[in-house]
Amino acid sequence: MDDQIRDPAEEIKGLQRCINDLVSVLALPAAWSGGEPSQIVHSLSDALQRLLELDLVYVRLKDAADGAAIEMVRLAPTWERGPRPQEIGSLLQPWLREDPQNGPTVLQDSFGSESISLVPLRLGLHAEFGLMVAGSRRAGFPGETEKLVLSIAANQGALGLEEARLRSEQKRVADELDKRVARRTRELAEANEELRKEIAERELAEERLRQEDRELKSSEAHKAAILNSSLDCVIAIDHEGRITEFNLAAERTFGYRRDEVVGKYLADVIIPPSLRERHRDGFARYLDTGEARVLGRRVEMTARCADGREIPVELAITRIPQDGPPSFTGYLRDITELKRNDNALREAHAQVARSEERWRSVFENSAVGIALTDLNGRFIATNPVYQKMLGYTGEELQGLSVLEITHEDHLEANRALIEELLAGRRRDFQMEKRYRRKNGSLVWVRNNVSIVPGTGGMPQFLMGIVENIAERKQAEDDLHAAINERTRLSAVRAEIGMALARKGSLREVLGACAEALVQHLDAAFARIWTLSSDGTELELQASAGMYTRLSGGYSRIPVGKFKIGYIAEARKPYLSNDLQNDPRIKDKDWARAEKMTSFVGYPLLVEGRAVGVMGMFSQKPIPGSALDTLSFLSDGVAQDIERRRAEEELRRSEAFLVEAQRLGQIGSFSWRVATDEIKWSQQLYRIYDLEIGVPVTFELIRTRVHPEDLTLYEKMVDQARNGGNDFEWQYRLMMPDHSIKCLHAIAHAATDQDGHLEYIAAIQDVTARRLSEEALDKARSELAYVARATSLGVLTASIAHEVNQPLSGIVTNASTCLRMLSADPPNVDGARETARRTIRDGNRASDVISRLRTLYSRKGPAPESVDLNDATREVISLSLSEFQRDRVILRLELADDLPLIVGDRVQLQQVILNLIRNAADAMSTVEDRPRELLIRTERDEGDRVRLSVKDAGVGFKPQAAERLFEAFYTTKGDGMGMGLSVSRSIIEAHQGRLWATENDGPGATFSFSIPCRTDTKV
Amino acid sequence: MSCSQETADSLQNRYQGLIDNRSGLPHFGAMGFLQETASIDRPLVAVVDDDESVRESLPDLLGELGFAACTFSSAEAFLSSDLVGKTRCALLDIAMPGMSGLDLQRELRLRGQKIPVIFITAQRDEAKWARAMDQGAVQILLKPFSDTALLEALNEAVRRAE
Repeated sequence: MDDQIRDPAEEIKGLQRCINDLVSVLALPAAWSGGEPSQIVHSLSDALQRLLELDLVYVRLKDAADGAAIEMVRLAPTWERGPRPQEIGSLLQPWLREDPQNGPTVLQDSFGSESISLVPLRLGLHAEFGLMVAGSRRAGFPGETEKLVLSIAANQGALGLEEARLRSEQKRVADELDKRVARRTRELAEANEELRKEIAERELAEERLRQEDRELKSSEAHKAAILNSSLDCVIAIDHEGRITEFNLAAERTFGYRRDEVVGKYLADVIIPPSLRERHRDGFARYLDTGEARVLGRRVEMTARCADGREIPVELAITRIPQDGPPSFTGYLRDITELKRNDNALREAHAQVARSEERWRSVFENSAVGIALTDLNGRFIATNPVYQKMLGYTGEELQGLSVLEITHEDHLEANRALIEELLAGRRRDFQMEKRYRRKNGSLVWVRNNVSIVPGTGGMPQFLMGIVENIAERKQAEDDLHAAINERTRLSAVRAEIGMALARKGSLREVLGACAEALVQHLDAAFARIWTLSSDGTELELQASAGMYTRLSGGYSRIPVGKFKIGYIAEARKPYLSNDLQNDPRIKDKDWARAEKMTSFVGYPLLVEGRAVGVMGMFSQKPIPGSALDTLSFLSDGVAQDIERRRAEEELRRSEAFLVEAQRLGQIGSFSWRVATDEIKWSQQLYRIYDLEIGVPVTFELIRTRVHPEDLTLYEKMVDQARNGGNDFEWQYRLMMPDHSIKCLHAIAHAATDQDGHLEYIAAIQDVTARRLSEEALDKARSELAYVARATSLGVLTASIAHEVNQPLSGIVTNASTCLRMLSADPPNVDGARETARRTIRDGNRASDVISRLRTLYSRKGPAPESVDLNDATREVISLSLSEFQRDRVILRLELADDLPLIVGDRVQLQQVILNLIRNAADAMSTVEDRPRELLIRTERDEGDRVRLSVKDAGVGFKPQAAERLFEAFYTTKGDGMGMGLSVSRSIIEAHQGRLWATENDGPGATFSFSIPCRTDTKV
Repeated sequence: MSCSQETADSLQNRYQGLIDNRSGLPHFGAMGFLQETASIDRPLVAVVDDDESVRESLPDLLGELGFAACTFSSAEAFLSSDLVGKTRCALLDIAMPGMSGLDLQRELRLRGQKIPVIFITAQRDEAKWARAMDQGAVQILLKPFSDTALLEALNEAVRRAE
């Protein structure tokens, strides 16, 4: 839809005008029939200038015969200031040198002062008839419809010119042919006349000769006279071949004198050397056998003259009737002249034959069909093209007449034209008509029929030159169909355009589109579906025609299901004109009952993405061109659906953004550095607790920034002013009620349209997050406590064991002591011993309890100087019984010179306990090797202290190395997965590092390293 | 472990010595001095506990209560000694490295030794206690326990054995 949608009334008026113009243009060829090219061009230019109010029409025709161009210029009456007509050709020349591309393109050119839009048009597919240029000074020329009119006019012009050219060509060929035949015939007639004359002369001469001969015979005395008066040469020879007589004529002809040759052998005198042998042989044969090959016959031969010339002679030899050895008389005549005439005649015959050959060749090889008929239209001869065109053989045609194979519709007109021809009222006629082929099909032809006058007794006949114009007719039909289609299309386009331009819901708009499809495309009903937002379903949005309900079975169609779903999935149109047998149609009974035969569906695509499907059903076959129409319309509809969706989406996302900013406590601002123009979002006003809309200045902002952060704030502003980089910082606000807000700002440096630095920033109120981070810290330490409590809880059993063992000893010893003392006599030594043991065990129990108290005491992190060796020993002493129970062999390698570290003793012990417990657990299933546990302390590089716990347990997989420290990661069946996670956070709080490595042998080593001096906040 | 093995061995040596040199009956305390109230009827109680203070203090009390006692630091040490057949009652710790008290109780039953078993434990573990009682334990004493509680359990054990 490249046309701007104008006022629909105007649009329709424009289209109306366009159709009128097209009708005018299409009517032109009727006026041209039989006209000359120049007439065609004149009337075409006139019509175009008038219809389209052109300022300039320029036509340059190529003349087919000699290639010379004919130029023609039409100018509007208002063309005064422009160049003169004769200049226009040369002005356009450089511009036209490049062959205009297929179809009209518009070129701006300026003639003099005024600008003119020029449209070059080809006449003929390859501009074989020339070029036409239409020009107008009107703005907006050429419009779409004008382009259409121009291109059709050019097309019509080309057709007219083609016809004119063909016609003149045919006429020329026929004239030329006539002329040649007439000339040849005349020449032949002349030659014949001469021949007749000569033959008559000869007959006369022979008669005279015979007369004289007769007279000679009657008188011997006349012999010599006769001989000498003979026009023929008379030579007599004796039986040896010697010349006995040589008359006057012979003397004249051969140039010998009688007395020179008498007595010589004939062979040596007038027989050319090449023939002498044959002569002697023939002569000898005759003498021997009496067989004569030349005797008594007229033969032609070559004779030799005295000067060596060889001339054709006619020879008749007779044997002289006398007794004794035979003698002969030869009569010779120089037939050079006769021969010459003979050759001329032959040549004339040959030329006629050649001419006929040429004609035959034209006839046989012509690209057009040629038929010769008698005056009744009965075929005499047809050429192969003609036969092929009609599907008959030449023989078959000879039994038929032209009228028998002509379509009934044309019979009357055809007969009338032939009658005019026969009556001499016209020499030829053209008509376009349909022939019926042998197989019954019809073929459109253009027939040029002329009457050929008979010559020399030849009867008159008709010659038809026939051209197959089926393609041209088809093209014309197509053109008409295209114009109809286009008109129809324009109407639908206009209507759908209006529908789309209308305000309203998507359903209303699509409903109007469906309505337009039904009205203009002859649909029984039309529907439009759109793709659901998740892309899985098609939702029926519009239905017009027979069905208008939007609910029901087809209101939601899964993509890929039924034909509609397939169209959306394949993104390809689908056309079926045999619905009742179409496998994609579910309800064939319905199709049959409703006489529904056809369906066409077109995907609605935006950038190759399906957004919906448009489809229509019809009770008539839908032509393929309907697909083009739908294709055309679908773009507009698809774009509209997409646009409406996008608008909806935009509205929603804008609303989302506002809401998100409100919810996320995110404000935004822009700051043009050059002008200090600052714009705030509403949310930012809320964050700063300022009245929305007050002009924002740095002074105003300063009043809110927390005094402690002012310096930082000003530094940031200065940097931003000079830097032009993205930046990010956190600062605090002090509100009028002295509450504190923490803000996090992220600014993006950009350049505005004028190239000035501009920051676009988002500011988030992170007060709540800060608070929650603090809360999180607290929770984390709670968690550490819980984890500690948990792991200690796991230890409770062994701790109880640890405490109860000495208690058990105390109670037992005290009981024993009492019993020993109350015995008779009292066993004082025994009692003393048991009392001593009681005290010892009591102290042991006390130690255990004080260690547990330290471990259990839940106090905040308390940095103090810690001897890592001592702390380690304490932990080990609490775990010894467990080691013993788990058969763990403990090795200690504690460095003597270990510096003190600053940290939380209990937390660090918690870590050590964790590592040791993990190590022991890792070895609980090990049976094939000692369960050796090595605890080592040492100095580490960079004034650090390192503790490592190495076990010989199951180890860990390399990929688990980092995951080990994640919370709730555990490989133990009964573990919580908190130990290592908490341990790492404790060590990191000491600015240290906790890590795990695999041993070269079995097991793993867990180590931590802590700086000796930390200014940590633990 | 070796330490408790030594204890068991030395006790056995002393026991042999006593039989040879004195009444021929086992009568001795952990401390090695002879009890005045010793009689040849004193039933032998085996104490199996990995805790040294128990092995140290219990034999004296058992002696005061009229029993003969021998101590072992592990179940394995007890099983490998030749006193199993002579033991009239076993005082077993539940949680011990290696074979636990419960394991030992089951092992004794499997060997056809119907020695009454009293468990002494520092850990309150209801599940293990239930198992111990199911396996026929006489009593479970939570450390620290009183001399009377011990005596009651021992009397019950002796009564069962008869």
